[in-house]
Amino acid sequence: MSLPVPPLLTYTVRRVVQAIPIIILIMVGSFLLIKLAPGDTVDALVGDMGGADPAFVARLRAEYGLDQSVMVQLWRYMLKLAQFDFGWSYVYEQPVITVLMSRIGNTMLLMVSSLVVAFTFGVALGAIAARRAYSWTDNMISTLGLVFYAMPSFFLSLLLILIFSVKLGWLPVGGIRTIGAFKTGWADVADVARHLVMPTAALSLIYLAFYMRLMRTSVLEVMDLDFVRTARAKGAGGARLMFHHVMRNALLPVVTLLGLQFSTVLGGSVIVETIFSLPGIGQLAYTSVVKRDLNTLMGIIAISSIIVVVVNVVTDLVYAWLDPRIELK
Amino acid sequence: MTVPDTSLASASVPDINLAPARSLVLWRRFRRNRAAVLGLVLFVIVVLMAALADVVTPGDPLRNAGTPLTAPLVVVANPLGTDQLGRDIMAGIFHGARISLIIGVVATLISIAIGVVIGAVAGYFGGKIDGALMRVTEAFQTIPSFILLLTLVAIFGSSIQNIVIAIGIVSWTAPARMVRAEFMSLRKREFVDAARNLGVSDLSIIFREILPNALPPVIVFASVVMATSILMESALAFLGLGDPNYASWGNMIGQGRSVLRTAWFCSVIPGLAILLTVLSFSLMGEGLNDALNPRQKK
Repeated sequence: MSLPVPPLLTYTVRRVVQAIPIIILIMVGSFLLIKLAPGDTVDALVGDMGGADPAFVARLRAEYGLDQSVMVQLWRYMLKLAQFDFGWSYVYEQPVITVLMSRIGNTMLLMVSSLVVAFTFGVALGAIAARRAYSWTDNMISTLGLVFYAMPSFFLSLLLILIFSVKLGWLPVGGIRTIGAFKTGWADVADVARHLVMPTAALSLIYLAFYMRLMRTSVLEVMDLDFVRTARAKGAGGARLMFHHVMRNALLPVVTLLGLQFSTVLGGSVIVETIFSLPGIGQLAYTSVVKRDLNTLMGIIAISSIIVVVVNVVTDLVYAWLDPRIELK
Repeated sequence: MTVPDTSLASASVPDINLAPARSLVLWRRFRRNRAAVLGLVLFVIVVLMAALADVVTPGDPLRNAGTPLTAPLVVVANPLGTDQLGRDIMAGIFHGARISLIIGVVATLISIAIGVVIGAVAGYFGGKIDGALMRVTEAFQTIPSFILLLTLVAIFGSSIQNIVIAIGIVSWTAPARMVRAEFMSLRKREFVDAARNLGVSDLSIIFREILPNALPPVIVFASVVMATSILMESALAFLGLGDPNYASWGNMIGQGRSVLRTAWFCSVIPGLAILLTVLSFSLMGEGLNDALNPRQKK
């Protein structure tokens, strides 16, 4: 007999350990990308100064460790990353980690609100469509799903701005708060929420369509299973059958997809945050590309990979909780 | 299974790799799906627009071709209007179709090629090779693909060739997983054992014996990759990070953004073009999937 370690804990630890080589791979990959980029930090600095004599350039290179071999540089880079030191951003004149931390909250807010909207509406609409499969309602919902799926988020954003900001004047065009309003407490929360309505809608619609289609298929599949017939025979009907017996099982593939797609949603935030000028990680990625701020860009890759890995572990745990057949070993 | 041959249907089916009887069956199943046929029609329209761009709207689509910000259906020379620099919107739509299709097709070929090689090797050999390749796949899946795309474009430049290659590099993971799964189930089949016993080399078994059997789901999935490739290119162009030397729908929408208040048509027309093109791929892909798996009722 071994010590009674809770299986949930060992499972979580094992999943985190499995993720480590992937994170290391990503770090090595991003280091190689920087090395492949034409010019290094010193070139950029010297370019900014308008030239310098070779001795000074050589001293700068030594100071930044750029005169060492690639392997030594890689080792130093990894050591720094392990301490969450992503280097210095020459655009923001701050350490990259400071810039990232000041923006990550906004991105997470947008991610969470978009995924909650996409998941809730997607699951609800998918279940409704499956309940009335092949009816007029189902056709209507399925067609709408196809259109949402084909709608590019930037086009949808512009349409929303055109309708709700330009024509109707209901919602602010961009930003996260009304500039100069300095609201506090609930007024501030309401202000942020108003600014998030359109970005959330623009980012969530395509995923809403995904979840809706998957949920519809999944509910149709589950409704054919034996245990649903048994439940029905025992007198469970209508809402109880749907919520208690069918939905819980039908949710499983949707949860898997949610985890798998998190990184795509994070990528989509680049476009939406840029259009609505939300000061988040995505907008930062765009400005870093435009201003060639490679340190910041690599920091963004590292931090978003870590977030994705954490979300995947959490999704697996939720999955195991939803489906007791899965053994956590 | 034999199929009664009718001259009408057999005439309309191109004879590619599949035996004519099989493609005939597929085409009949596909044809029954009205949505899929609509998708095919939309797709043919886009292909025609791309093919006839130089005939219908000759000349450089980026040149000044009329009074700036002419509304659609006002001037005969600019039936869809002009943008703020006086560029003809119809010319942009026709020439943009060409760019979108080229990028969609080439990027899809690149991503499927990488995916097939990695998936096939991982699935066929298994063990440590599989483990290592799957770690790499997971690493690529973990980085948000659009952020990786931006990084690649930032480092290697945004010429059209680089954009196509970069889109291929960020979208091979799903096809790779798909091919790997197929290979893992197929490699234990009897025909593979038979080939191995005959002394056929691994390379030959992978590409000649197993791959043809593993391809159908990948071909269906290619429609999805094509759609996302087009969306990625247009998103890049929208942000102003595309190749400035070509007319691109995404770029037109991005430029139209600054005149959204007064001239909504500058961004709405190319937006609808992207929407309908992507829709056509989804509809066709779904129809193809249903035709290949008729028993899988959805």
